[in-house]
Amino acid sequence: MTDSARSGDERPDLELIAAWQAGDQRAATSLVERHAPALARFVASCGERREVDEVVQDTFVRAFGSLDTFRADSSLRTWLFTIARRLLLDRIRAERRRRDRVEIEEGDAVTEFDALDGVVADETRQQLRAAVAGLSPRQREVFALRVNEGLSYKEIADVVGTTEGAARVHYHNAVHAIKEFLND
Amino acid sequence: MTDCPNAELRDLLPDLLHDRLDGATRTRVEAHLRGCEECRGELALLRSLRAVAPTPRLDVAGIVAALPAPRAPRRWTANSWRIAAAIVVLAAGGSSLVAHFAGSRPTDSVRVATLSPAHDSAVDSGRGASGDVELNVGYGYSELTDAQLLALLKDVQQINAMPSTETDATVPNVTLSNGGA
Repeated sequence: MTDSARSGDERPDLELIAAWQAGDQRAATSLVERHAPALARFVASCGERREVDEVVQDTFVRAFGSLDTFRADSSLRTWLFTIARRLLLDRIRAERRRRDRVEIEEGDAVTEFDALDGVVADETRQQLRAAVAGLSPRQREVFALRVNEGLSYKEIADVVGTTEGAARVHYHNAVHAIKEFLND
Repeated sequence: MTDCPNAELRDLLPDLLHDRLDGATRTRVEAHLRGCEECRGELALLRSLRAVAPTPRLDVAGIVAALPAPRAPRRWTANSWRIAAAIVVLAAGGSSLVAHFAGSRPTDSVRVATLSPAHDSAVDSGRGASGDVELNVGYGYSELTDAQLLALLKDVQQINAMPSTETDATVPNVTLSNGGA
């Protein structure tokens, strides 16, 4: 099922944006329904543990506040990912300033994922999530965008601010690290 | 789990997962998968990892409620209105000039007698009857400065103030080139 079908509105993003700017509030709902789940997955995959909802909301508020500057050079979703990533980095920096934050331990990440899902994890699930949680932050975000969201290397490069070649290397390093973790 | 040496095909596995491949590429990847145990294993791993990715629940209504209101269309400044008004005036002045000059220009073999020889030469040279007006009214108003627009407006007012040279009710004295009248 496509995201458009899931949101129940098949109109393209640009059409929905124009409708919202003309005062159609349902267009905003359609856009949020269409893109929020992917944003939430991305935010959670990047290690945000408690405030996924808040980051996603802030992302939409920022985006809708400057939609008139949005250029259709990239897709709306890619643009939203870029905003969400910046917000995440801001939060991480702020938290680091507040207290000398240490890296999230694997066990914490797995526990948080369980809480987010509301699903009791079996051993395989825990192992897979732990493998992803063990990646470096850059590998984790590239892997999430590539495997969970299906973005191209070009789109990933736009989101994380790197080159296509670097995105490809991060992805393959991530896959290699996951395999190593699971083989141990 | 080992890696397939075909890096190009391995690169396409996430696209296969998300159904982002065109028909020909998809067929090629699927053919490779039939003979490559490593890629089949990697694809299965990617599928599993995607399946266990966290999917937090969201309050869509809450997000929508927090969105800012759409910005009102950009308001026109006083300067914008002045430019628009100048364009209208210039367009009107330009149209009347074109109509005026086109109407008094001789055509083909018919020569239209004019009221004043000076007027004919002014038309041919692109100058008005007063001899000091030269306007380029074709395009580019938005690039003009306020001072230039004011100068153009002044020129247009002079043109509009000029007496009409049209003969209106009077029948022009027409002379055919073969000498007939």
